[in-house]
Amino acid sequence: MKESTLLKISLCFSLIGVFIILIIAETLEVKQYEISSITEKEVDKKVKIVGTISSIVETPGLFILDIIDETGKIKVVIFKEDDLGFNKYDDIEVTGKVIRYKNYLEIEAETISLS
Amino acid sequence: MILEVFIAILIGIILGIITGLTPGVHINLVAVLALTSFPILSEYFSVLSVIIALISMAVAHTFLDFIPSVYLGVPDPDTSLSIFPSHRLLFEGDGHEAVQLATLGSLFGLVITIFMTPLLIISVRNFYPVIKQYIPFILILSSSFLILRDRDRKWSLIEFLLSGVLGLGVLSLDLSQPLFPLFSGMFGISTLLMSLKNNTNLPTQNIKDLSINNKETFKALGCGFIASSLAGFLPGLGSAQAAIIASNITGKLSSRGFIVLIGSINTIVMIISFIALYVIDRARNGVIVVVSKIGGVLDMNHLILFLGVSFVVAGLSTFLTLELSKLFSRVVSKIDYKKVSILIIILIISLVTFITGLLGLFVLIVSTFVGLIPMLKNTGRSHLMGSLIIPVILYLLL
Repeated sequence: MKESTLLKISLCFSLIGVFIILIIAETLEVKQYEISSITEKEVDKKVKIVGTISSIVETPGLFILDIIDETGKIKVVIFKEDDLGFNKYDDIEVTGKVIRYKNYLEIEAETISLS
Repeated sequence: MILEVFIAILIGIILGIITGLTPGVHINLVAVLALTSFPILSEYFSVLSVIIALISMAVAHTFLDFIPSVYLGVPDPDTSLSIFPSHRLLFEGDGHEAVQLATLGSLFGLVITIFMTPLLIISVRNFYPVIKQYIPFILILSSSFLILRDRDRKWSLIEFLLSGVLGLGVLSLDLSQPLFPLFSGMFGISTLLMSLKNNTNLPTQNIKDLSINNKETFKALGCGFIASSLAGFLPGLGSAQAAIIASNITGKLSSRGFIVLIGSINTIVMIISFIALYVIDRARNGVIVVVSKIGGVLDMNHLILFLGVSFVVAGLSTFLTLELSKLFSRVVSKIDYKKVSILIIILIISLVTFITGLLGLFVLIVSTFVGLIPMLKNTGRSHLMGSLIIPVILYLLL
């Protein structure tokens, strides 16, 4: 095959592919959970929760928040990149992956925003 | 105590050999496994020995990961920029020299960084907050320089933006290891496909001494150190970004010098991540996150221990990498490289599908097409780093 034909094919497929990936990324909305409904089944899944910060603990490398809603409480782990920027009693929305740490379930935060 | 430390180092190095040589198995994967199994591990091993094993693995990995990158054309994000020059050496029969050059970079990069640690600690304490604000601009400037310096500016810009949009999309997909399909496609499979298309046969590999002069080596190591210490402490940046910054400050560097540079960067960035945890309390990669999670507060004594461990690991890994490389170079000249290329492509496709699912496979295919463009247009492949640089710039600015 000629290089110029190959280039056209590569460019076409790249553009179409990138476009499809963007659409998938846009439509893959993360499901919102009540805290008590997060169980072993959700480990390694991405979830979204909305709740209030009931405590903040800082360790080297991490922030650990306790988040409560009407149904329960869960720990949210944030890897330090910068200052936290949230205070106790703020209402926040967290998306992240559910992980098991020792015998507890925690959420490893990916995005956090005020709700 | 000493015996325990040595056993931990040996276990770490063995893990580093496994993660370094197997495409797609990242050290973060082992670190996360160690974290989840820590309750069981802690019944048999002390916290310190688990940490030492993890650190040894991380350092050993930065030495060994050049072997698959040189002989198989399968890169880590960290080594991907060296694929092109080292693949060329492989096809000239000097695959082993490419590994030697990268190992030289890793070893001396590590020694320089350890000796510069006091200086790094002082300068980071004072300048970190100031430099941090300028990082998006440093990245924009250095990417612009790379694009403007290329013979074909229009296509370089297209490649940079296209890979950037691809990176943004892929990083927001819910993949367990988004960079694996992205980089295996852009830098791995595309290289293998081109060498299949060009019908290249691998010549008999020579085992000979290095042919690089001291001036080139010093220049590569110096630039590697400066770029890595910029990128190593800052949020969102890693080896790949350090490589972009470094390729701007080096000026003209031969392809051998460039391999030394890339070889030094991932090791230096790893050592700096230990220092960063101590000085600015930030975990800069997956292994350090796990170390800080299970180890708690880190003091000066820990840092000295980690650096000492790194020294020992570096010595052993240099020996192991060179010996394994000799073995690989004997084997690759005997086998039909075309068949091997096809086998590796199948291996990558299976690993990607296994680790990241069908969505990852789709990302791999698209990334392969994106990776073919610079090869067909003969532009620098570093523009594809837009896939990491553009998301970081947006993340830091927005």
